Amino acid sequence: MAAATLAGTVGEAAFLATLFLAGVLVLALTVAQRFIPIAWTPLATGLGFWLLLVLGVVMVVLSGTGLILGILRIGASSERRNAIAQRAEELELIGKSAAEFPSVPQDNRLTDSPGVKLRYRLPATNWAGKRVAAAAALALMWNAVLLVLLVVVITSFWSERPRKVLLALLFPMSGIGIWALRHYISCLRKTSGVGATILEIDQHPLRPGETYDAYVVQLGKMQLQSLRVELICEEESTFRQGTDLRIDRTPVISEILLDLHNVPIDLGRPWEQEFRIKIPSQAMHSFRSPHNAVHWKVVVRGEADPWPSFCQSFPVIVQPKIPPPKRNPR
Amino acid sequence: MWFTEGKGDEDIHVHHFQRYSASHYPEGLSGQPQFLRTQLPVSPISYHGKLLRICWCLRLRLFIENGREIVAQHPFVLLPSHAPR
Repeated sequence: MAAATLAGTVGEAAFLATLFLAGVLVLALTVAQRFIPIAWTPLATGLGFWLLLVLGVVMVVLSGTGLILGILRIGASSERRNAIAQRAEELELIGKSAAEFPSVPQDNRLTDSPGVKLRYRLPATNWAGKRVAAAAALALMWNAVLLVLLVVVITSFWSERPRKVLLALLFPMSGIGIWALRHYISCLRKTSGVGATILEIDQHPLRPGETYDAYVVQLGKMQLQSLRVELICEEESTFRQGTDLRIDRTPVISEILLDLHNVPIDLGRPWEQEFRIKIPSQAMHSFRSPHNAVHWKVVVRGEADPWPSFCQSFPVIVQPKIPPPKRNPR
Repeated sequence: MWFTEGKGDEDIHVHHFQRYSASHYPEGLSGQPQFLRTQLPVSPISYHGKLLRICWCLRLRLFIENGREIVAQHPFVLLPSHAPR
C-alpha cells in the first residue's frame, strides 16, 4: 500500500472517529440542555432542539457507517468488496456433502469465483479487519461514554452542584480513552499496510495422487522477511469436557510448497509466484461428520517489517479418487 | 456402517440396515448362513489418524426372547477405489 493511500486510510478513519465522538457530544449536550433545568447560556447555540438532535444523530450514523465500511474493506480486493456488497459475508465456506461422496464437503462456495490467471480463485477464511474492528469498537464506545460523563460534569458545575468525584474519575478515564484511540489508529495503520493475498488454482476439487497448478499473489508495499506457502491436512475433533465443548486440531500432513526470504513487494507490481500442489496418493480425503473432520487447506504466511505478520488460510476440498471408467471390450 | 473413534465424540452412520423379524424364521435360526448384499460408497474410506479413526464394520444385533441382546461386530477396511488390493 502506498504511503499516500495509507495516510488517506488512516486520515479518513481519524476524521470519521472524530466526527462520531463529536456527534455523541452534540447529542449528549442537546439532551442535557433539554431535560436539565439550569441556565445554559454559555452553551446556547440558538438552534432548535430537534435540529441539534438530528444533527447529532446524522453525525453518529454517518461516521459509524463509514467506519464499519472502511473496516470491511481492509485486506479485501475489489472483487471481495463487491461480494460483500452483494451478499453478507460468507459464514460457511464449505458446504454439506454431496450424495456422490458421502461425508465429503461440497466445493460449491469455493469455486464460485473465477481467477484471473487460473480457473478458480479460492476464498480465504481469515478476515484481516477483525483486530481493527475490535479496537475501533473499544475506542469509540469508551470515548462515547467519556463524553456523556463529561456533559454530566459540566452540567453539575453549571447547576452549582459540582460532581468532584466524577470529575476526578474523568482524568484516568480520559487517559484510557486516548490510549484506546491511539491503539485503534495503530492497528488500522498496521493492518492497512498489508495488502490482500490471492490464491488461484487450475482445478477443484482436488484428488489424491494428482498435481495442480496454483498461483499466489501478495499485494501491498513492504519488505517481507519470509513468505511460506504450505499445504496442510488437519484433523479436527469436537468433544465435551465437563460442561465445556472443546475443539482439538492437529496437522497430519504439512508440506511446504514455497519458502522464500527477503521478498520485496511494490505497489505497482504485486509479488506473484506460480507453484504446484501435489496431493499425496495415500492421503485421506476431506471428511466431515458432526463431531469430527479432516480439513485440507493452503496456508500463506508472511513475516514483514514494520507491518505485522500475516497468515491467510485457503480451504480446499480433497475428494476420494474415483476409479477410471470400465472399458467395454465390444 | 461406519463409526468414529478417537478424541472427538463418536459419530456413526448406518449405510445399510436390514431387519429380520421372527416371522421370517418360524423354526428359529438353525445356523444356516444368511446373505447380505449392498453397494458400498466411495467415502469415507477407513482411516487411522492421530485424533480420529474411521472404522467400517458389519454389526449384527440379535434380540432374544427374554429381552437380552447379543451384538456381534465384524470390522472391515474400505479402501479408496483406486488403491491396490
